[in-house]
Amino acid sequence: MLDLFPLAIVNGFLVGGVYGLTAVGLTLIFGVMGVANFAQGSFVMVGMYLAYWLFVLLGVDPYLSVVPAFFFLYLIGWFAQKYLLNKIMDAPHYDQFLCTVGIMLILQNLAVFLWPDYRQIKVSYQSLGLPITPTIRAEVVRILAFVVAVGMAVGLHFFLKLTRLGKAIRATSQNKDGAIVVGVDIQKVYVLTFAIGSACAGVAGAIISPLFPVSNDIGDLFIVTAFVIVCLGGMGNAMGALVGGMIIGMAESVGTLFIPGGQKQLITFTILIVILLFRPQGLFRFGGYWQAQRF
Amino acid sequence: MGSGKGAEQRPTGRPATSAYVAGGAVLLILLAVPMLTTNYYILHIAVQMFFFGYLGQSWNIMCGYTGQLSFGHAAFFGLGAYTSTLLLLQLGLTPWVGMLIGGVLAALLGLGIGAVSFKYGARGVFFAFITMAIGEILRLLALYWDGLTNGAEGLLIPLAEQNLAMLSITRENRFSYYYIMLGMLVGCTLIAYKIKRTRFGYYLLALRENEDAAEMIGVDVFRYKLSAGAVSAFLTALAGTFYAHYYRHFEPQDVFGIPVSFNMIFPVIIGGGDYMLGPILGSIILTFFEEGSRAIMPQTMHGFHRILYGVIIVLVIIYLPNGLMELFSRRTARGRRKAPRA
Repeated sequence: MLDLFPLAIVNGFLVGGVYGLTAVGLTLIFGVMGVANFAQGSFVMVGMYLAYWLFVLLGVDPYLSVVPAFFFLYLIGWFAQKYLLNKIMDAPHYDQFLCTVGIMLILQNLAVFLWPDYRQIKVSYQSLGLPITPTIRAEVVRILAFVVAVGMAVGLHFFLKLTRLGKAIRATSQNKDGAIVVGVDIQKVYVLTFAIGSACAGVAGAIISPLFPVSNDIGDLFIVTAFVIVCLGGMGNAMGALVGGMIIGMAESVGTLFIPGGQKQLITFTILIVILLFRPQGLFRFGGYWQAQRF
Repeated sequence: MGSGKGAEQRPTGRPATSAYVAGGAVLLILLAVPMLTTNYYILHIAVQMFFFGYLGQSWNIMCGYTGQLSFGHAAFFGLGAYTSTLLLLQLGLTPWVGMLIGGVLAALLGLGIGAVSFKYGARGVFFAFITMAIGEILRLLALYWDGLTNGAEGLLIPLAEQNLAMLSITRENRFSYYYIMLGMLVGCTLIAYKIKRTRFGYYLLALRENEDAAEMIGVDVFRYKLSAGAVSAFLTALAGTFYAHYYRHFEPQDVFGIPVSFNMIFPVIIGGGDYMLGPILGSIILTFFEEGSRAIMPQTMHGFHRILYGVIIVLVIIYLPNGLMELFSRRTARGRRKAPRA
């Protein structure tokens, strides 16, 4: 068992990057708008199905599907925020997250309706490995997934830091009224933020499609994990979410070595409760674009 | 979840005499239904409507009245189901007593969750996640503590055992469940009405609208949030026992799963949590759509009614934020309640 330990760490770390990307989208939406987006898991699922069908019908490599997945989910997020959520941004917060629960139900059950079974994609380089040390070989698919996920998260970070739009997003999250005063159209910022957050989920879905079974209930797994990561990193803290994702990824894959079955989730949920109670601002001191302590 | 003015609220705070008459008439008709029809399917649909109306009503006591949203009421529901069923199977205790024990345990759990969460100031989304995590923890415990709970296979209540109706279930006496659920629904609605129209209810309303302001004028916010939570948990657990005996078999996912929690919330959202009859109306509409789409669509296409659910929920939240009851009420202040400024 102990000889599996380093491999578990590496694998968990790599998949954790993808968890992190999902959580970055979630935490961005939460940080800017205070909306806990329950549909994020089903956005991951939509990204997976998109990559699946492009692969099956057109033979497109799942890692190239990242681009269509980004734009497709960007559009879904754009639509959801512009035509649904923007109408209720003044309402109490639970109205918004119940609305995202409604969106989740629609997407997830559409998938149940259309594709009730489990599916799988196998790319030609599925079994290829890259030796990291003489004894550990990491699968190429995992490394690719990690690189794309972390690349996207870092890109998003610089987008928020360096561009005018990013500045507008940060301004809105820090002080809505202030942003309006200096001429930011916060309705547009909301639409943009939700679209980007959803696109992160879509990309995450596309890059893990060779690693996970493509099924209509995969969203449940991702939404729970993503919420745990968001809480770990601090709500609204994007860098915290990325690091938190890697921590949870490693904890999960190492935990499977010692604890059989789904019991490891017991620990995850206990950690979640403890963090929510004692450190609702998250574990880390760094990387917050904004103070998420408004809720 | 709206302006806080119930449709039936008169200036005196009491319903009109006509409301009593109408309510009595509806109740009489409902009491007569099992004598008029022997159609088993119609009775089943009616029980479904009562059941989700009851759950919505009890969820609403905590979450609608105080604004502390819980996504984990399945914890209480499942605790009720497991407690009474295990007491029956292991000790032969009648489910009528087991039901109350389950309710008390759930109320204690509710008090515990509330006390810890509110003490550390968890509100809003944070509180919702905590409750959800607790529901999931209980589900996993039920799954892996299989010496006691029989794990993933779930528990089966044999026909010969005592059950809630004190009769073995046959087609002929299935209507006893109809009366039990109807009684529970009426009782729960009366409790909700009592809470809402007394000092307790006004305290809850005050702390929902602005917790800090309520605390400032001397409402013991902590205590009232806890009490509402305990009542709500108790009532939810009773429905858990009913579920166990109505279906006679349940698995951890059936009683502790996240969908269970959401199924309690939807009737409230659809019908309107600010209205006494809102959760019941929501349950009637959702059950109607669910059974209707089951009847129309072939068996293999399950999931369809859940898509409808989603569409209805999104539309209602956006266009009728106070729920469908708003359409029937003349005395509502229209328009959406704004969130308090942070």
